[in-house]
Amino acid sequence: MLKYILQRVSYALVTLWVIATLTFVLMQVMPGDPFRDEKMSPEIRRQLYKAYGFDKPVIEQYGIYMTNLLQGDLGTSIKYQGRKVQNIIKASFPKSFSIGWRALVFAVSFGLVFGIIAALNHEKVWDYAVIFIAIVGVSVPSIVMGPLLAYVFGVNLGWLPVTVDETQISMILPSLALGLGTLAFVSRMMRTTTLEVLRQDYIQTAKAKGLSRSQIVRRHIIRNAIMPVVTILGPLCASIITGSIVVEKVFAVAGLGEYFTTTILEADYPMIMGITIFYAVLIILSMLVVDIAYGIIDPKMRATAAKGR
Amino acid sequence: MEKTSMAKIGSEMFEVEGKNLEAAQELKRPSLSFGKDAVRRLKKNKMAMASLWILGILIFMSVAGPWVSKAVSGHTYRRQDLSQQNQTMFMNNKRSLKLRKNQVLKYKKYTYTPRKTKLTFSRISLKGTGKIAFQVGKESEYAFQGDKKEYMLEIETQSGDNIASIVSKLNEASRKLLEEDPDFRGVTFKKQGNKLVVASQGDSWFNTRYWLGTDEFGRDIFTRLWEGGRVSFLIAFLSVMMTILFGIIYGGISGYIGGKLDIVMMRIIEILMVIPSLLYIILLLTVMEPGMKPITIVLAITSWMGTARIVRGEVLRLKHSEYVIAAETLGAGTSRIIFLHLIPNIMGPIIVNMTMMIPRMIFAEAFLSFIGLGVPAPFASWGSLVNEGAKIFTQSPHQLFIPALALSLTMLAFNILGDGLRDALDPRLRK
Repeated sequence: MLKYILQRVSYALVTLWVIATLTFVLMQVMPGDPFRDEKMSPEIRRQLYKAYGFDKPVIEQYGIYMTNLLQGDLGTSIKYQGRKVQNIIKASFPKSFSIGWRALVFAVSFGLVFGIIAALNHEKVWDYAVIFIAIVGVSVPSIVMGPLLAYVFGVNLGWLPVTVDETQISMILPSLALGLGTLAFVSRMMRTTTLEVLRQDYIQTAKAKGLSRSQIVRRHIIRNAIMPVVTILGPLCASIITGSIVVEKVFAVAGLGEYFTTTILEADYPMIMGITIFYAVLIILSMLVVDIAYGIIDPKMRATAAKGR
Repeated sequence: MEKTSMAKIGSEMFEVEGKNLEAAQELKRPSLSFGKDAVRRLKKNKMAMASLWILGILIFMSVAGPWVSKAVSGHTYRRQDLSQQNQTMFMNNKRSLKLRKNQVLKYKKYTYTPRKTKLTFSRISLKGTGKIAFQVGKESEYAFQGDKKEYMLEIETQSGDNIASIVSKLNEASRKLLEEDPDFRGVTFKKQGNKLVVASQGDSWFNTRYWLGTDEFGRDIFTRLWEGGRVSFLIAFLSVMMTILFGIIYGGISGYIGGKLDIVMMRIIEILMVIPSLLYIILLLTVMEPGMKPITIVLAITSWMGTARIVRGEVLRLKHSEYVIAAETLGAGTSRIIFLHLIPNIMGPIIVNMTMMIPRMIFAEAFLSFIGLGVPAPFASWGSLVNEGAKIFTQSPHQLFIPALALSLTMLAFNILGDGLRDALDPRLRK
């Protein structure tokens, strides 16, 4: 078990290092520079270069950059002068997170339920309904789903607010828009794995023993079918994190994703780099957590670990 | 009993018909190659065939659409006409409405149609007596582009008035205005339960000049939609081609040569796959000049890993088969074996992989256009059209829905077709 965890952690660390270095290399090969103003005098430019440390040799810059990163320092924003990137992230991320976790919980819980319902009613109306939802959810991209939900429920029916504030109700639409793709994916996968489990001999045995239907579902079907779904939770977190960039733009959430899109257009390089690294770390950490959690939950993994593999 | 009856059947009871080896060899049905068999199975899959047709139509329209609209009405994707903004498919000359003065009615909230030609006030009740006025025409928030006339519909209530009498007074005022000037076209007031519905009257007709309407700069949406389709399909196809090419080379070498090289190459892929690709696409594109070429290249270099893995797996599965050993014995070189013997035999999974990748590429391009990193301004792609439409969808929803529908339909069709192809091309799924 320990070996497994160590292996996962070391993978994550290597990946983080690759990402940090890649980001640095990109920052170096970038053709333009953040101080693109042509009216700027060379002296001022030199001063700015010095202030941001761009005048030192590349290797030294890399060293400074890596030590800063390790200390959690992501540099200073150019657009929001004098503000540290990590402080901007600290201020805006909670808003993104409050929508993100709602979307994830909504998507995974409903996805699992839909998948089980579909599989238990194989080739009946409910099954086809879930397949339809799954296909549509996978095919309708978030950039369409967001404005569409905003139009139907926000503008046309007027049931829910279209912009996000502190209230719970205003978070319904963005969480829905963010979660629907994931919901589709989870329900599709849960359906497939449940169908697989239903064909197993131990389900026959359980029926032969005279267990009630709900007992079979709870004790045998769900427990076995849910395992493969747990493995994809990591990538799902990643897709929700990148999806939030779009959804925050649509619903005007003043979160990290919106900062990201505005800084992209403003070419605020330290911000772009900083937020990219932050997102990357977030995604890799969530994948790592899911991997380790899977190792702990899955009885098969536990068994191989106990044998001292 | 049985034995005796069996014994009765002797060889003399049989008559030799004569041997006909050729007839025995003859095939009763035409032989099916792998490809033909796959096509046959795909044809049985109705959903996949429907998707194929939809994709065919969408691709055909993307090629032909801009030419057609140029030939018929002379539109191009970048020609603007600011006097013709925000038109819809079905034009109507209903006037927009706005509540200007209200000392009479209390209401909880009001809803309106995109062009404000119909207002609905919910839970109305009397507030007091005085004036109530509606502004009808160009000065309202979203005016009909036409004669630029405007009207004020105003009544004054007395203390004895109830809601029904106010409604009839409003209708009377509208009728009077219509008698004075037929261009007013009329406004009707209706009380439905405790709702008041105010709707302006007018005709509607199909927009013959701009088939799908115009955008906020007065550009033809029909032309821009198919022009955008060209860009989206082209980026997706080219980037998938590059992905497949690189994936085949990388995966083929890794799988066939194997050993330490394979381990190293797969470790590299494992690390690259964990890196969230969309973030790096964004990062790379902020560095590059905007345009189709960089988007295609960036999409390709961030997504070849999956293909390489699939190719490697298939190559590993096939590299010990007889025909490969035969080729090796005959002295064929590594590259000859990989590209002439192995790759043609794994085209099935590669084609399935391609079909599955295309919608992902289309989505990635749309995503990039949506956050402002797509093709630069006058050019259109489905993502940038959705982005433009999303900005003003409360006023003119069709500008969002048309490209959104095209985008979703394409992704849906490719997903279903991919599933169908996987069933048709994967011999392991045969029943």
